[in-house]
Parts: sequence; structure tokens; C-alpha cells
Amino acid sequence: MNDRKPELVCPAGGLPALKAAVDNGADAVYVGFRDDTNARNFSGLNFGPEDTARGIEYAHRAGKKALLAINTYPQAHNWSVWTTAVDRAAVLGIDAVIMADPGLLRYAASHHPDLRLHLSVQASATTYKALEFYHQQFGIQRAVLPRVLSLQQLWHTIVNSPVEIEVFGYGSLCVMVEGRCALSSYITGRSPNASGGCSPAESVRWEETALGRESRLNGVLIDRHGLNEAAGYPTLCKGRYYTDAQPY
Amino acid sequence: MELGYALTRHFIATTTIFMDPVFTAIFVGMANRVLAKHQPDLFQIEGRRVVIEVSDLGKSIRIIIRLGRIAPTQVGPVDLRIAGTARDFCRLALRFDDPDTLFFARRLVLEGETSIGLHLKNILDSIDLDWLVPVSCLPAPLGPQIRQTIDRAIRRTHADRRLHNMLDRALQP
Repeated sequence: MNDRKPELVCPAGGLPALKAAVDNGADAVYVGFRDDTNARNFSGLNFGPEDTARGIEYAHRAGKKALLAINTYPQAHNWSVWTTAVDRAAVLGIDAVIMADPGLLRYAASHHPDLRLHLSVQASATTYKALEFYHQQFGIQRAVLPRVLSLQQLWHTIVNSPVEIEVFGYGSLCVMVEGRCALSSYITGRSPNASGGCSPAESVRWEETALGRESRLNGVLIDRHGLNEAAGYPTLCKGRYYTDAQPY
Repeated sequence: MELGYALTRHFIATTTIFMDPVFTAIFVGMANRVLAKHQPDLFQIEGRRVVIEVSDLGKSIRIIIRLGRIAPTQVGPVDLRIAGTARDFCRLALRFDDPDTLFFARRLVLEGETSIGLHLKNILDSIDLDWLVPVSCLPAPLGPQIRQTIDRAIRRTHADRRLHNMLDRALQP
């Protein structure tokens, strides 16, 4: 066991967020490009080419690190979009790329041997044996562990891990079976793994009705919130349903 | 009492007829100035119509995205409706609250094409506000020196934090 202080890693969806993170004590900030190569692919969010360069410069000038998530899974027809993202990351001088797809990890390891690789939570590696595999095959230097693990499981993995471990200090309000959840695609045709978004905004509709605020996902009623009842983003897993008059 | 009510109504009617176009023009002008760098983002929602309703004041602003800029538009169907109180819109503009918090706490209404709302929200979040940029662009050594002096004065007096706290208190829901 070592007594090194943990590094604080913070996500940023835009330049103001990156600056706030750097100014307020983050040791590293991770960002994503403005496309479906990361798991936070939402309209208007993330970094264009100019912003990415400025963000990296801002972090480096403050002695902080800038990481880039390319952590969704390419498919045969759009493979080059993901490899282009990896090439861009290498040119930009990013400190590490966070990836999940084994094919893409191999591409990065063979084309950019100096590029530091982190295993994304989207890879859903839950044991040190899995981490050993990624380490041996692609030379990953850090892994982000899924939020489904208990503290005991985390500890066991950390003690035996061949690489650095990153864990989430807090999560979003998702059931967090990262890399393995395709629920969203049953209704919307899109899921975080392939296109970087759960319940994409194009499929979401809210309507204020006499019965309350109705949330619909691609036309399917997910929830109905009464007056002043706190509402949430409509996802299939968090909807409230009635079967035989029993609420679920 | 009745006279007061009549006067108030008269006042609202007068301001609606004469002042609303002026307010809309001011809002549109300022918004375009702040959003100047985000034209490529606005192009992605080209032609969309949005109505912003300030529910407690009974006022609304109708805009359309045209050529990557915001323009006022007339009565007609809209693609997105955003409604909230004047206080909450002020809190949003000053970044005291974020749109998600207000929406899920039911203080903000969003109806129509959610994706336009999300797009606008993310554009607003990505605006890098630094009011001192024009000052620092003045010819050296004047600009950078003025900027440094202002920066130092703000740091020493904590003027930014005080102003923030004061406004936050004034806009408490």
C-alpha cells in the first residue's frame, strides 16, 4: 500500500467548466470531442477543435492534466470516425486517452505508442484479471472501475491491479451498468455504448397536461409528475409503470 | 384602489404596445453580442422558433434562429416554449441556478422540441464570460496594465464574491 495522495479528476462539458475545474483544484480534467466518440454526446456539449486546443493549453499552463474520452464503441461502417479521433488526440498532445473498445485500443497502441491509454468505465472491466488482459495486450496504464462494484470488490481489485485505478467519487442518477446497458435503444434506437447518449433529446417530449407533466420517450409515456412533484430525465429504467394496477 | 388597478392596467397596456418591441430589440441585440462566437452552433438549429414566456409578468419574447443569429419574430406556431418567472430567468442568466435544476424542480417549463432546448442550454453553458477581455485588448502596456490593476483590486476587495452574494440574496426564490 502506498500513501500517495489521490489525483482528483473532473469532467468538463465546455471551456468554462474546464477552467472552473482547473481553478478550483482538479488535478486532471477530462473532455470529449463534439461527436458520438464519447459517452456524453449531447447537442451543443463538448469540445470543438479550437476549444480542445485552448482547454489543453489552459490545463497545462496551470500544471494540470487534460484527458480525452473516446469511450464509445465504433461499428464497421463508422470505424474511421473513431480512429480519426484517436489520431487527433495524439496530435493535440493530450495526456491520456480514455477508451473502451479493444479494436480501438489496439489501433491506438500500434499507431501511437507514446499515447497514454486509460481503460474507460465503459469497458466494464470488473476484475483484476480483466485489467491484466488490457494491460498486457494494449499497455493501458490506468483503469476506471464501474460503479456497480462494492467497496470490498473495489479493494480486492485495487490490491491486485497491475495498473493505476480510478473510481467515481459520485455518479449520475443512472443504474450504472456501464458498457452493458442497451435499454435506451429499445425505444429510441440509440444507446450510450454506440452513439454516446441515453434517451437522446430528439426523442424526449414533455407536456404540461391537466394531470401533470407527462414525459414521453419516442411517444411512449415514461412518467407523469403531479403538480410540484420533482421530475427527472425520462429514461426507460427510471419510468414508473402500472401492471395489473400495481405501480413499478 | 380601483383607480390604482385601472392605472396599473393602463400602464401594462401602454408598455406592451410601446415598450415590448424595444425590450425585444434590446434582448436580441445583447444576445447576439454574447453569442457572436457561437454562430456555428446556432446554425444547427437554423429556422427554429422559440417563445420565452415570463409567466409572472405576462410578457413573452418570440425569436427565430436565422443565419446563426437570433432575430425577433411574429406571432405563430413555435418549435419550443420556455416558461418561467422573471426571478428564475435572472438566476439562470447570472448562473446562480442551472436550467436542469430549475426544470426538474418544476420552476421552468419546456414544451416542444426538447433537443432545441438542450442545444440552447449547452450553448449558454459554453459561453466563456470575461468582461475584461476588451480592456486587455487595448494597446500595450495600457490594456494589460489596466486589466492587472482591476484584477488585483477585485481580488483584494473580494468585490466579485460580495456582488455575487448580494445578487443571490436579492433573487432568493
